[in-house]
Amino acid sequence: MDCSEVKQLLSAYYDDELSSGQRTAVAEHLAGCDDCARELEGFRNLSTLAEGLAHPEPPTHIWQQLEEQLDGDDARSTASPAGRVRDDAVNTRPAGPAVRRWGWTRKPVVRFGLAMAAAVLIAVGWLSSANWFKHDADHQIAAVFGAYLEEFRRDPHAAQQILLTKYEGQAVDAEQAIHTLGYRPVVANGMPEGYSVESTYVIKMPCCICVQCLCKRSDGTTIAIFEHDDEEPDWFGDRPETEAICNGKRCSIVDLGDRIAATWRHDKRHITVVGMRDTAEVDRLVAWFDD
Amino acid sequence: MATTFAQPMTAGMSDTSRRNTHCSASNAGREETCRTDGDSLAVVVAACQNGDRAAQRQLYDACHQSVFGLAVRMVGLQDAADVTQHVFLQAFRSIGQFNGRSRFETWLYRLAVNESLQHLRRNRRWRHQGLDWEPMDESHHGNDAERKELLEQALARIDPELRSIFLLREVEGLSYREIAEALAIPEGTVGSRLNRARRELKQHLSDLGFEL
Repeated sequence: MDCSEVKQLLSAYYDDELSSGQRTAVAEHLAGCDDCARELEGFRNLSTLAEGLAHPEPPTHIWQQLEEQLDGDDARSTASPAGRVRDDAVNTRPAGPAVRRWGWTRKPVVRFGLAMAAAVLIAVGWLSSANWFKHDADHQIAAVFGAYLEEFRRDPHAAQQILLTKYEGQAVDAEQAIHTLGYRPVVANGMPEGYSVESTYVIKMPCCICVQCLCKRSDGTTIAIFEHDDEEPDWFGDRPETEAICNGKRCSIVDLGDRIAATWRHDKRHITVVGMRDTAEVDRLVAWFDD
Repeated sequence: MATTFAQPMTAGMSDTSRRNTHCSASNAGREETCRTDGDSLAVVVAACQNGDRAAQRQLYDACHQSVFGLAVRMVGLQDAADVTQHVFLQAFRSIGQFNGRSRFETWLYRLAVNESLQHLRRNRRWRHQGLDWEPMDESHHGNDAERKELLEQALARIDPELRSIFLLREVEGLSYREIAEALAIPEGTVGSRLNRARRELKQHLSDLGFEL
């Protein structure tokens, strides 16, 4: 066997997955080839390194949420036959004449109406151009925040770097924040049990100057807390948004896929938290900051 | 360093699914090896196929650490809990399709790898955008913790499919046949992909300043 053949079989040799004939042939080559023997030694060292990899402890909430979903499955599967018929009815196209499709019409009154609508649209477009630059800035913020939210799901620290690269940011402690902002950020008063503050920045964005704080949960996952003057719906672009009352406070909840973000008014400012699991967590944080 | 699924006892288990299970632990971090023989796992799986919630809990307790550990390295800590939850939800919903021809663990790993890869595709994170790491001083390879951190960084840099094959072999201790089943690839390609994974890891470690 030459080096090329041996290198092709090297993992299988190392993992003892070769036939005895192949194994013998590879072993004979290795005995006389330093290069291949060195590569095999590298595989061994890699295994030794992998042996010591940490095994992160899974958070306890996984089973609870899983059980809720399984309960939901059970409830659906034991639903009455009538219920199933209703489900079918929803999914079945109703009998009868085909749905009339939208199309151009020759009726003069309709043509006049459409012409008027076009004129209104042109007028609205002209008036809107005055706000062009503001909208452009909003779009830019939405794009940067969109990238931030995407990255946050994978790596909150890398996401933070997106904001810090794009905008001017300064790591601060409580006293520096007071000096820069003129108020004491809410996170400076501490976090509820199970959360710890990792870093705090004051970030100057085109829309506002805000405090951004990364907080770690006890299971190692992260949320980001922003404190800012006004509501900032542009941060979340077209993402689905709903309102909810959390701990008696109106909150704007944005669906981030597998996480949510929530914004609520706190004294004279607003707090936005990115990366929360559910509204129960929003309840808890609203209550904590209110206290 | 094969890791076997833990199998703790669960209060409220039905008698059939409790039968033949035993647990022995030697606690040294994850070195605990609550071993489960195939027969007892088969009993629990059979109970799960009948919708036994206590058996589902027992199966979850036995397997969730391995699935979570794999998910952490495939999609990152932030999303690993969600991926783990989806894997088990899918497992319990489709456990009737498990025919027992392969080990249950292999079937579950297949779900876990597929869910992780789908998660990465959905979130367009095929390529790891790692932080720029300063190469270490070549005269010093750091302590154990630093070396492991470098391996984590190197793992995050390789293609997710290569990462999964390396983790299934080196961390979960699957044979080539089991890896082939778990990843739905021919057994003959497992070795060549492991070659690639190991060489790429070695190269990334070298880029990070650590020569194997």
